Amino acid sequence: MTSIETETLRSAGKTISDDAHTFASETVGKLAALTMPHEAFPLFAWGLVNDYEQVRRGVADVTGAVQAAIDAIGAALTNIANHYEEQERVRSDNFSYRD
Amino acid sequence: MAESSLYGKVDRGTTHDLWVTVGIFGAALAACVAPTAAGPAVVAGMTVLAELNIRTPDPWDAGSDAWNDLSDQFEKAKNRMTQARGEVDKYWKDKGAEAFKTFVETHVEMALAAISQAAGDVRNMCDDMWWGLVTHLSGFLVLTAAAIAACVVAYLSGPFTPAVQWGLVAAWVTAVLALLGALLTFVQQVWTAGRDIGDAFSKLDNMFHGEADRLNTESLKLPEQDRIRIGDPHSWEKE
Repeated sequence: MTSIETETLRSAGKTISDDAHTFASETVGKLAALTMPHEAFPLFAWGLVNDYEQVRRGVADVTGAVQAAIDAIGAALTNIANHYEEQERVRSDNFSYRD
Repeated sequence: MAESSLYGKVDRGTTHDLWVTVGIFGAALAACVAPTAAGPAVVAGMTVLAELNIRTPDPWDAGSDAWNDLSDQFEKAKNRMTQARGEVDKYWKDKGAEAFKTFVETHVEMALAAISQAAGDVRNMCDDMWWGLVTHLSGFLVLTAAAIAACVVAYLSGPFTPAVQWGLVAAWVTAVLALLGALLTFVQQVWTAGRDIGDAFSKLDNMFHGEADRLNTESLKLPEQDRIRIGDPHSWEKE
């Protein structure tokens, strides 16, 4: 890999890690506060109280799981970029025109 | 459970104020049609039925905005993930790369698409509830005010005669029929809101079917073998 390619990997890793960070710091908390209490529903819609909560909790659960997954992926991509950059550095250190 | 960011003290107060307003309109119409036999009782019944379904629409408006923002955020995150996968695919080719691409495409991107669509459905539900509550409230106030005006006109038409009494009966019967029609429209709106929230859950349940009413998100955990393949450079060289 060239330095341009490792930079692409690092950039992709950062983009994904940024999303993971936003999900953890903002989105999960926002979803937790999107509850709609029973008293907000009119009588004819009382059947929807549990349905709304079930979906809110479902979206929150999936968001939490996605956050964990993309956090791991972002870190892995950064790790890969580091690995290739290290290999590139080792190869250039071992190269000499005098040989 | 976290405190609701959508419904608070102000909304409780607004709903209370709306109940008082609806009660005043209903009581005024009942007083206007007092000389008729069944008028006050029927008007009182309709007013109680309306009151039970009067709530402030504001939380649903705020809910619509919040869920819309979430839907956009998930959609954009999915697009960034797809783009990142494409970029990485150009430069990284080995078993680790394959594991990365497969997991991102079939699990993470699909999960983001599912929650984006589910959030969009919840936004639609909030819109339906908002619209239903607004039309229900305004319908009751407008129709009741019109009936009160009709009664006033009947009273002003001259001394209290059978014709005036029939005018009052016509006013409350017309109002009650119109209110029943408005109530049916409201029921239809609630039904649509229920369909939207059902669609939202179906989108999640199709991908994360779990036990009881909880979803199973195990599929989003990076399998240990893939975790090693993707994250440990030494394992790529061995493979």
